[in-house]
Amino acid sequence: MKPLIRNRVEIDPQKVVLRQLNLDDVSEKYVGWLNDPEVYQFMDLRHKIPVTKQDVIKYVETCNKNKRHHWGIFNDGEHVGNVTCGYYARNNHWADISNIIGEKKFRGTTLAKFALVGAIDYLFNIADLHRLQAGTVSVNFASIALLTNAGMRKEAVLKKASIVDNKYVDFVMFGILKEEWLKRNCKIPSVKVIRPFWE
Amino acid sequence: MFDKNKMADDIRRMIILLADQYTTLPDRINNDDIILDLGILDSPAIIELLCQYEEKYKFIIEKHEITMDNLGTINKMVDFAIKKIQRIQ
Repeated sequence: MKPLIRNRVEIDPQKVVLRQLNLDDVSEKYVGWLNDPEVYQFMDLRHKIPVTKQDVIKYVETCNKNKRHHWGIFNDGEHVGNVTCGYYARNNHWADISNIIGEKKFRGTTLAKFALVGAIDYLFNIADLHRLQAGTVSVNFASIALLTNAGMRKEAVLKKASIVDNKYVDFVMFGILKEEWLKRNCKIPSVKVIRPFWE
Repeated sequence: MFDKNKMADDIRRMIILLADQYTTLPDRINNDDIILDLGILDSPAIIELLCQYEEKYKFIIEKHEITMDNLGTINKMVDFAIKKIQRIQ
């Protein structure tokens, strides 16, 4: 399979909404994304396949119980991916952020960028976090481009800390502080973010 | 013979043309700058850059070849293209 495939689907950021996921959102489609090699190839999840519907239900329940942001990305009302704060260092006011685009037709589009920027903006301005960080493997060029384009800078390279396709590869950490985000004067259009029940 | 300077300029031009409209271009993109660290290409743009690079130099990048060592900077992209073309010839 050719690794590089263009996707020229245009995204209107005004039609994109982030909303905290609940149990009604756990569809077969959503579970299917997490078992799709194209989605999980660079995620830690690749070591835990297959993912069952029960696994996803438990994860969504845990996120809501622990007041962790686990947003669905809805494009024109359709659930197409997620943005998640998988880890919070609440005492230190920071969180780890990640995203997936599950629906094939939206992979490689600007949707991930609009959603990530919306989430970062919300987490700094509404959830009042002080720092956000994200990480990915060094061979995941699309994800690195997404993070650096959203304003994150490379903070650390963990040498050969991950295995992809049976080879050791570096794991790269990115971060951004609230003060850097506010100074950045970001012109990337943001998306609508619905407040979860606890905020 | 390969004109490495021309190849570097061609790749730099591709990067500039693909730069995100919402970000500010740096004054200069040097041949040893790490392209992804510049923050001017979003994820569709980096895919487009590699597709245009494949088309211009007429080879296919294999999945295992998408690494910072091969494609991280303009100089690395030039050297990688030369290696690939020589292998084909």
